[in-house]
This record gives sequence, structure tokens and C-alpha cells, in this order.
Amino acid sequence: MKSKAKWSLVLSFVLALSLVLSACGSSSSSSKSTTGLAKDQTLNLASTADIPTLDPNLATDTTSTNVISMTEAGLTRMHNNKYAWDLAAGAPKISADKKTVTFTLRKGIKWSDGKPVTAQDFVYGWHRQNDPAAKPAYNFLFAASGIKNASKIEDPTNKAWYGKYNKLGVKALNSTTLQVTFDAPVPPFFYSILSQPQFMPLRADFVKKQGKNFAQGASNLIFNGPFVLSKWNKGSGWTYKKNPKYWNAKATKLTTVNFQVQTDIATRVNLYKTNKIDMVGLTGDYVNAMKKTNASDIHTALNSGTFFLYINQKTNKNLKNLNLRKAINAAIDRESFVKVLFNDGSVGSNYVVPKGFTKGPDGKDFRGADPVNGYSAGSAAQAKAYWNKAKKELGIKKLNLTFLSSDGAQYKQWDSYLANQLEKLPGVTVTINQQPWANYLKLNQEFKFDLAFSGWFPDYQDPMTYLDMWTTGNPQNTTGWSNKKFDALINDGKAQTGNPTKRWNDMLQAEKVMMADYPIVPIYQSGYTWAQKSYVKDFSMPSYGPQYDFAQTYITKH
Amino acid sequence: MGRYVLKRIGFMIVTFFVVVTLTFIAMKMLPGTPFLNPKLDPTQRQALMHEYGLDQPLAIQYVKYIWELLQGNMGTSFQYGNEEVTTLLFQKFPVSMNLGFEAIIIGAILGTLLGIFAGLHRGKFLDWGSMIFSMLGISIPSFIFAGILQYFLGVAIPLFPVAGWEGASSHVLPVASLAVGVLAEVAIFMRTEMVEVLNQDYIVTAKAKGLSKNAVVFKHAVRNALIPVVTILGPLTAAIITGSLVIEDIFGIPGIGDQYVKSIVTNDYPMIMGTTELYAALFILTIFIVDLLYGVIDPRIRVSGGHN
Repeated sequence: MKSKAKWSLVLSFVLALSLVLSACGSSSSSSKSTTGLAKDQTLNLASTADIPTLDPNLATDTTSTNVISMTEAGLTRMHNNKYAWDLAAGAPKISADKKTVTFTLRKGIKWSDGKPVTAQDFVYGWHRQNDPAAKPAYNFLFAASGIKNASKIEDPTNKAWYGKYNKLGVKALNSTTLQVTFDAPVPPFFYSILSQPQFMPLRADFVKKQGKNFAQGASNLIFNGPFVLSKWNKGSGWTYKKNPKYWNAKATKLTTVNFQVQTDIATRVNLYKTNKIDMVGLTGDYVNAMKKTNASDIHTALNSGTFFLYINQKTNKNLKNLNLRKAINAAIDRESFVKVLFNDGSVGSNYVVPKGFTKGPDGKDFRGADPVNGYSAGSAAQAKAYWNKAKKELGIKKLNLTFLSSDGAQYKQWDSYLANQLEKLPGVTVTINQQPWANYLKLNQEFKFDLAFSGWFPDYQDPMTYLDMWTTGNPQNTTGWSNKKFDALINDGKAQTGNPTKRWNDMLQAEKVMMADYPIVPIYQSGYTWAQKSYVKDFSMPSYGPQYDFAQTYITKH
Repeated sequence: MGRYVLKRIGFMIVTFFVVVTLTFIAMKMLPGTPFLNPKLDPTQRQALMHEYGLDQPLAIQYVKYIWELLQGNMGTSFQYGNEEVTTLLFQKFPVSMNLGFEAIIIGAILGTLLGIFAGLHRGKFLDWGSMIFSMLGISIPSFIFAGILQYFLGVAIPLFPVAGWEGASSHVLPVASLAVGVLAEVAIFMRTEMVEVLNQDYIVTAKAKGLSKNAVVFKHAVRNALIPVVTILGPLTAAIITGSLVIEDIFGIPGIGDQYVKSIVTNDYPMIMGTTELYAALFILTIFIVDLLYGVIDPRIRVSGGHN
């Protein structure tokens, strides 16, 4: 009997022993000098998700896009929100009608297996993006850029053209010259979109040889970017090594970047606190907590995500009433929403095109023009006044609104906050309907909601990516809103790629028209807050391009 | 016995296919498509549905699926760039099994010991202490333990890695978090059984025969008390292996738990089917093994099939 009673004693002994051991074990070196590069150029990071895919045709999420951006190169590369010539030797030759753009590739650019990167590789990559058999999920970027025939090739209802990728306006004149043709003059955002994975080259012989295995593992890929993917342990993490064959390898200071997959934020914060990772993105309660404990490590940036409510005026006749839409818009206190619920650099917005995202031909930010901080949403008192007018015009006393959103812990808080503010209008009640994402999309497209919480991230670096979706009948415009003046301005803006100033003014005007009519309720523009060790330099989270940019990051002595 | 086993295997196969069929039907009733990028417009989504053969009638999709399944082909995952489901399962499932079994074995052994200990000291301070500990173990969810252990033994006193699944030391915290519940449940069960068995006449007889206390406890009491405990181990194993999701999440363990839930919310059909099939097979097999184990522990239960 006695012997059996002792297990608990044994356990406490083990615990006590390990306490002693740990006291001896934690002897990490910490010399405090900050000048000069550290010997060990290794960056350790945690990802919130595993890599879903590294096939550029299938990649649509931020993690995949980010890995491809760090390991592959396009004609351009985004750095600090500006594009720089990457595999292209420099600015292309542009024909007089601005419809033909000819790139010359850099000399000596190579794949990680030593073979040269050729113009034919670009053609193959672009063709594959437009081949339905390769199941592309993001090929509409080609149509959005106005590349010749892309919109016809990508339209499944166009039987004569669909999938005929050979007719896409791209041609290799020789192994180092790539010619791209357009339906209209080349749009100004074309050079930044070239940094996206969809526009990167692919090697036909490699893809064909790999067959079904292509991009399934680190050894089923070839690279031409700043890093190579040396290890990919599905579910647990991956490792990058500097790619010595990258043409600009001298600018890459990091030799190794380790990512571990950690889906739980508490765990990521704990890893940061125990120096296992060098940077951690913060959300929810961790923003305020870390601002207190690790104040000097905190960084904040505004990103280009815009969040808003769809207003369904197609099947809900009441919502056709402008005063009602204005009342809904004015009832929401955006500033307290972002401050109380986020406090992470997000800003309340009453605009469509975000701040700090694009500059016009005059070099000014889109939001640099009037109004800089968005349109006036109105006070709580004004909201009530609009609501009273709406009640009279509609002949109603009460109104119930179904508020559709995706599910997830954070949405519960956001939804009830917004519902609560709307219910301050006397007689208004809100029914929250949280659904898994797949069903959210379905209900949204079927107009089975009154208000729906949504967000938008840009496809290309141009205000148009936020605006053209609101034209009449656009599949993304799940509001039923239709405004002829707005449609005309957008159509003109799209046709004016040859006249950037006119185009820019069209877009400014279009936003004004939209914000007078409130087809949506803008809520906020999102921000990032993250903690970063002081020895990590030149690490950024840009508003367009890869989510993390560590192509030129370095580690100082510490 | 042989005939019994064969019959059971037959039933197991039927059960398995019923599960497969029901899952297939239920899964196809989920709203939405696997193509969840909000930027795809309905015609593009339809084109992708066509490329993947998801626009065909349900019956045809089912027959095709079963035909492929019989050849050992589970299809490719939508979430993971067309990677084979079998490859993904082979990578992730063993990790979850490993975590689950470590927790079950440690929890069951310690729980049994604690239960015996409490049962023998019935009504005394040590009994109350063990049972309060066990009640806490059952009522507090494993992720609370995980959070506490991670903070105190990973961050405040960094004895063990905060997260990860490499090397024995990384197993300590997740396995301990999961094992507490098993330990507590087994301990309470074992204690009740011990108390009951110790009051039986045959124990009095054994004592009267002059057997040593150890012999009475281990040969007679514990062996008999174990039978009901084995019964709960079956469902407990299934619950632990399927329920380790949160623990895998907290400790960044590349198991299947998180994957399963994500498959369902993203309509990753082949992955939902593959994971369900694996769990179903495992569950059916566990029940079978537990039934066979009864016979080993208690000769009275040994199934004779009626006539042999």
C-alpha cells in the first residue's frame, strides 16, 4: 500500500527537480550593443495559418500569397508600398497608342536550379492562369488590367472565347523580351499588379515533370525570388533560406527565416515573450496588454482593408429610402467602435477608398483631396432626425433589420456593438444572424439579409479596385443599388487609362456620388498592431503586396 | 469465438458504409461551395464547380466517390491546393493519435492508481482529497489547464516549450492538459467500483482465507473493479482523440483536430469524408477491441457464440 501512495510524491519531486534544472538552463546571451549586423541573420516568426497552397493558380489567401512573394519574383516587386523593377531590367517601351508594352528582362536571372528565367516562362505562367483546366481562382486580375482578350477568355458564358489562353495579349519576342498588349491604353496600376503571384513566371518543363505533385512540397517547387523554401512541414511550419541565385541576392541579409504555425494568439504572445519568435501580430485584448508590458516593441500601421455594411435595397423596399440609409449611417459611432473594440491602429471611416493606399498623377493620396478624413456621417441627433423623416415617408413606426455576418468569436462582439448603436433609433430592432463563411456568401448573394458585415481588400493598387464593384449589376454589388451617374463616371474612368488625370477625377467624383447616396455604411479601415524585437530592422507590413515584407530585413547585434 | 469475430467484422463493414453514406448526404446538404473567395463571381464559381465535377447529380457523385474509395483513393483537398487527402491524413492523424494515446495511457494508469488509493481509504481525508481533485479535473475543461500550464511552466518558469511537437519535453504540457480529465474520470469510476467490490462476500472470504492484504486487493478487488473501467476507456479514447482539437490549437500541434473543423466550415468535401471515415473506422475498431477485452478480464463474459 505504502508504495502506491507515493506517486504523488514522485510527481512533486519531478516538478521540484525541473524547477532547479530550469534555473540552470536559461542562460541566453544578451549583449546589449545595437550597432552592426548580428552574426546570426535568422528571423523567427509565427504564422496564424498553415500554407494552403503554393500553386500560383490556386493561391488566393494571404499566407500563400506571402510565401510566393518571398520565394518567387515577378517583373516588379513591391517594397514599402512602391513597386521596383525586379526581373524586368527597367521601365518598358510603350507604344504611341499606349496599348503595347515591351519589357526587357534582366541579364543573368536564374531559377534556383540554375536555368535561366526566360520571357517564355512568363508566357507559360500567364497562359496557365487563363487555362480552366489548371483551375485558376484569381485570373480575373488579367481582365481587370485590361490585357488584350483576357475578359473574353475568362468569361465562362463566352463559348467562343472561354479558356482560349493562346489568344491572351502576351508574347515572347525572344528569350529576354516580353510583349504585352492591351484592349485600351495600359492602366497606371499595371506595374504594381505585376508583383502579384498570378503574374509571375513558371517553368513549363518543371510543372509538367512534377505533374500532380507540383507545389505539394518544398522539393516540388523551383524558385527565383529572394528566398528558397528549404523545408515545409505541413501543419507545423516552414523555413526559408537565402537564394544565392536571386539577381539581387546582395540585398538579402537574412540567411534563414523560420515560420512556425501557431493558430492560438495566446500561444504566439507567449512565444514572443519567451524570445522564440521575433515578431507577433496583436489583436483583441492583447493590443492593450502588450502596449503596457512591451511598449517600446509596439508598431502600428494602417492597411488597406475597408470594412462596411451592405444595405440590401433590392429585396427590402424600406431600405430604398435615402433618409433611412442616412439614419443607419449616422447612428453608428465609428470612432468608439475602433477605439473600444480594436485600438490597433484601425480608423473609423466614412469613405470608400482607403487612406495611404494610392497616389494620383499629382502625387497626392486619394484621401489627400477633400474630404481627407471621410464624409461627415452625422451626429446621433441627426440620425434620429433622419429616422423621423424616414418613418414619415415610409409610413412605418417600427423596423426590424436582419444583420448578417460571418461567425467567430470576434464577430459576436462587433455585431452586438453595431446592433446596439442601431437600436438607439427608437423603434428599430436588430436581429443578428451569424453564419459560417460559406453560408454567409450564399445568403449574401441571394440577398437574404438587410444589413451584412463585409470587408474588402484591394486586388490592385488603384482606387478602382474599391469603386467599380458598385456599378449596376456587378456581382459584388449585393445591395441592389444602381446609380446612372456613378456608372457613367466608372465607365469613363476605365476608358480613360490614357489620361490619368481625367481618370483620377472621375474616380474622385464617383466616390462623391456614392457617398451622397449611401448604398453601404462604411465602418472602418483596418490597421495592424504588432510587437517586434528591437534588433529586427526593415521589416514592414505594407498596405499592398505581401502581408509581411522581410525581403530586406536584417538583424542587428543584440 | 472465431464465428463471433467474423460476424462482428461483417457488422463493422456495414456500419462503416452506413456512416460513409450518411456523411456524404449530410455534407452535400451544407450550404455554399468550397470556393470561398468572395471575389469570385457566381459564373466563375460555377466554372470551378464544373472543373471539379461538383455540378453533377448527387447520386453520380456518390457512386464515383465510393468507386474511388474502394480503390483507396480519397480525392484531393480543396483547402490545401489539391493535395491528396490520404497524404494529409497520414501526416496529421498519427500526431493526434500519439497525443491522444499518451494522454489516455498516462491518465488511465494514474487514474486507476488514484481510484484504488481513494477506495482503500474510503471516508478518510486522503479519499476526500483525491475525489475533490478528481471533481476539479472533470469540471475544468482541458484548455483551461492548457492555458495555466503553458503560462506557468512555459513562460513564468520556462521548464517546457510553450508550443510545438518536437522532442519529449514538448509533449509534457499538452499531454498533461489532456490527461487530467482522463485521470479524474477513471479515478472516480475506479474508486466507486473498489468501494463496491471491497464490500462483496468474496473479499471477506479471501480475507478469511488468510490471504495477504496485497493479494486481496490486487488479485480479487482490483481485477473485478477494472471491468467497468475498461468499458469507459473505449468512448473515452474516442472522445480524447476527437476532442484534442483545442489542445492541438493551443500548443501548435500539427494534428487533425483543427483540420477537421476547418474542412467542415470550408466545405472541403473530400477532407470531411476522409477524416470522418478515419474516425468512424477507429471508433468501430475501439468498440470491437473493448468487447474482446472484456473476455480477457472476466471469463464469464467470454462470448461462446451459443453452442461451442
